[in-house]
Amino acid sequence: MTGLDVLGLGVVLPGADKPADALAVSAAPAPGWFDVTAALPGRGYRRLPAACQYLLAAAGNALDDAGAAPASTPAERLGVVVGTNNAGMALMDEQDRTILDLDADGISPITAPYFAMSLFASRLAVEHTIHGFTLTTNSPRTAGFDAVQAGARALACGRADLVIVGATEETLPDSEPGAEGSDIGAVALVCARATGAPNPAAYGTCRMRNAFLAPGVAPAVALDETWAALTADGPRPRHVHAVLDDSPTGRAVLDWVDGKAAEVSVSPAGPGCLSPMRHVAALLGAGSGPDRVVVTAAAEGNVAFLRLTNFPDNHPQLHGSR
Amino acid sequence: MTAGHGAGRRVVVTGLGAISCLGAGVPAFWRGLAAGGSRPEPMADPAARMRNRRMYLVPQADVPTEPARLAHVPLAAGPRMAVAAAREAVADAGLDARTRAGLPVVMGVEMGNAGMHEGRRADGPGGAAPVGGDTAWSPMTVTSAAVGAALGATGGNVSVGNACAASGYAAALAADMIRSGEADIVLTGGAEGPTRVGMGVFNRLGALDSDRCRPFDLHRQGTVFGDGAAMLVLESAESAARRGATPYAELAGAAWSCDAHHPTAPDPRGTQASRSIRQALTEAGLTGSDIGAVVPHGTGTPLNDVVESRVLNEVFGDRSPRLPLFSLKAMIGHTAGVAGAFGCLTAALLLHHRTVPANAPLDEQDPECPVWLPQKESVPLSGRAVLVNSYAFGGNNVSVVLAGAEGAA
Repeated sequence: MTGLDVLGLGVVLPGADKPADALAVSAAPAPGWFDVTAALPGRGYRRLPAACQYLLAAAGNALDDAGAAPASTPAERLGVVVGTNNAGMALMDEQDRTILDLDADGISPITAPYFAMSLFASRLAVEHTIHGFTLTTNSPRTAGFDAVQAGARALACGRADLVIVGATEETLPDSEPGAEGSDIGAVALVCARATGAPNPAAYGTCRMRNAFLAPGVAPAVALDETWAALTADGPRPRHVHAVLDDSPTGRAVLDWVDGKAAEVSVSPAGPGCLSPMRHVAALLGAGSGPDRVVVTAAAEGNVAFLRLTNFPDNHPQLHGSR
Repeated sequence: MTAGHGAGRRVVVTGLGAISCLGAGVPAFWRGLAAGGSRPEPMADPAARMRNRRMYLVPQADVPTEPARLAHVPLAAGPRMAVAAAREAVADAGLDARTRAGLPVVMGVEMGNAGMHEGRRADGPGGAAPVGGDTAWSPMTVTSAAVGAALGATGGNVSVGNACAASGYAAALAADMIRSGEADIVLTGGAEGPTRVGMGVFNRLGALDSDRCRPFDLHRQGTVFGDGAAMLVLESAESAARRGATPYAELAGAAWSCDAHHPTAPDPRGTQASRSIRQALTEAGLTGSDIGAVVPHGTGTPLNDVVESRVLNEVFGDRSPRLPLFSLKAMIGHTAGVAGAFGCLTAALLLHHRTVPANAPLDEQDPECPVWLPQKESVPLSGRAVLVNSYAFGGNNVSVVLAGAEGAA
């Protein structure tokens, strides 16, 4: 199975300064929790949509953390895959209300193109002159994990040598049902193709598999097959971290996951695809440990599993040489 | 580039489905192309306060009313059209119930269910538009999931959103899944309905033509959007042969690149767009001389058409004056996230029928766009393969090469 070795980690999350703290975010971020002028010094950043700022800052941190690999990779061999569900929703809401209340000429031309949420990944490519490709994934809640899988597949197929995988989200506007508890912030991983052997420059390996719980189909069949494919090689995962909501799909996955590992923990999933990726950042950033699986799902039927195999604490960040 | 049929399994197209301004179903689509395409009309949204509201719209009678919901989420026209086109494609491919049950779905969708959100904003709770009736989060890009649910497909379900190139990227991803052995059959495509925000932004940016979509015309003013859905069943050649399916074409190669230049404008040098064409040809194991026609991105946006013309002349050199282009958007408009899938579907039909329909007439071709757009009469497809270009905001470029399926299985 294709996978990614994670060479660098970066997060921009309210209340978390480093990846290892990515699960200890503030439930209600204070206004001004993100200082764009400090995180992104220079011109041209302040008027970008917030989720674009988060992504640029998190990716910058991850690239710094990845050592020499990014700089030594040709621009045409670098790729970007970003998952998002809500990065542009607040902007679209504002644009639409401008049309409804005034007319389209009232839309701000500076941020106008960001109604297309793929612009967030494209802006990252501009920032770092990445010519290989940019790709945006946007499946409900699983988009971040889909980004990991798409990045792994792209490297395996030879479309690039190094890929930045990320997820970024902005709080939904208050008018959107279920806005409370929206994901906010960004996570970025700088990744190389996994070789199957411990990589001394990496935190660990991510492998992803997905399934879909179609209505009327017994969940056990699809999930059993996906789990079997994910765990066919290597040790049995010790811990399953379930990041789920209270939808019928979420409850079905929760029932199914019971007993799949020695330890199962459950965390709430808010609107967006960032919470599952926060788990990935936190578990990789915490250093070595047993194999773990993070599973997440959406009410619409999307289900994704991500298996983490941490390497011994070789990464310079973990043994203190960086 | 190590992907491609030289390094993995060959991928063929065994099923097609479409809903467009030309009507419902692939036969209506092909007949509509042969008849010269459609004309834009105002979108039916009284809340759309903007100068230009013209689109190439799917006839209202052809917009499905079902499925009305996915889980708690009311579905707008885009996802509903996707489901109908997906059903047509899997039926066309002759997939049995067991195969459909395990089918992965990979779609390219940028705006997805935005029409539902816009209806809710315009009408508010209790208004005419569906309002959900609950307090749960309703993600915008639920189209691929709606297709998976409607087909009962439990394979992986992925939605990608590379703006106007989204479904071109999705097709390449689906092909990679088959080549790498992850799947034997993948359903791919795209679907978008009319969106007030999308139209509003393009009005604000001054990027719309007030007359019609007329790529490569000297008097073009911008693009004109269209809506619809286009779906393709991609399959390993071995699987198709095993089932006795007759492919329309082979998806022989695909390649991506990124300009990393500007949020909305292409890099005028076209360096990366050229690279993706060349890499797609390499992946296909073909050269420029094998290409018998091009379905260009060709939006009608002034700079886009000039850059793409320049790129095609650079890649195909002396052959360019004799290489026919089929300017699809002049007939169905710019279908945004679906454009790449419509391009691939059209290329498969060109190969299947071995003909390139006459283009929509130009008033006066732009001398800065020295490409051949056969007018008045169709021309026979003379080459082995058709090139499809799909470009997008942010400098996202994908080129796909489809070839005749003879010998692929």
